[in-house]
Amino acid sequence: MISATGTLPLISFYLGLTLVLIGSLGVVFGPKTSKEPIVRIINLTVPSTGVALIFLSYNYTLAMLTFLSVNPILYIIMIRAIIRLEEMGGPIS
Amino acid sequence: MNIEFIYAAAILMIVGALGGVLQTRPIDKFLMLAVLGDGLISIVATFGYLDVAMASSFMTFVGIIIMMIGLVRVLEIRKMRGEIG
Repeated sequence: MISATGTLPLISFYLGLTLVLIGSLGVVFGPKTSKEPIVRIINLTVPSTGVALIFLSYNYTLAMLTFLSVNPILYIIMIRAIIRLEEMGGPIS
Repeated sequence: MNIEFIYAAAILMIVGALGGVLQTRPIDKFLMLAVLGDGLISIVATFGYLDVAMASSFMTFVGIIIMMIGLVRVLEIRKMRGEIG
């Protein structure tokens, strides 16, 4: 039986690339993304997880932790902007 | 017998990504993102960085809670303006 512990960074790297591809196509062309911007932000979680996996495959642990810590702050700012546009009645949908 | 753990985590992450992109209701999307986060924590624990696994589990939790609060706020504003229900 072939052990996977030798090819662990390789599996993590290609899985990260797959997640970036699936997530970016889902952010641009996904269902209901043109009507509701919250759905677009929820889809944005998938490629960010893929980028974190690519960081992990190079053993850049501090970069991965910083990236995962900055992501919720980014979500706070973008969701605040969406709520503000929704209150003003702007061209959001 | 050597159990290969990373293959299970990879299948979990692919299922979570496809489900999170292709579902249409937001609650189903949050559940699928929880599956994706579990796969990420499993892969980090397979590498051996247990402190990074602990911190990343906390960060994905915070992100999901923030997006849920934003979703509920947007639905409240639309209901107050009379656009839905």
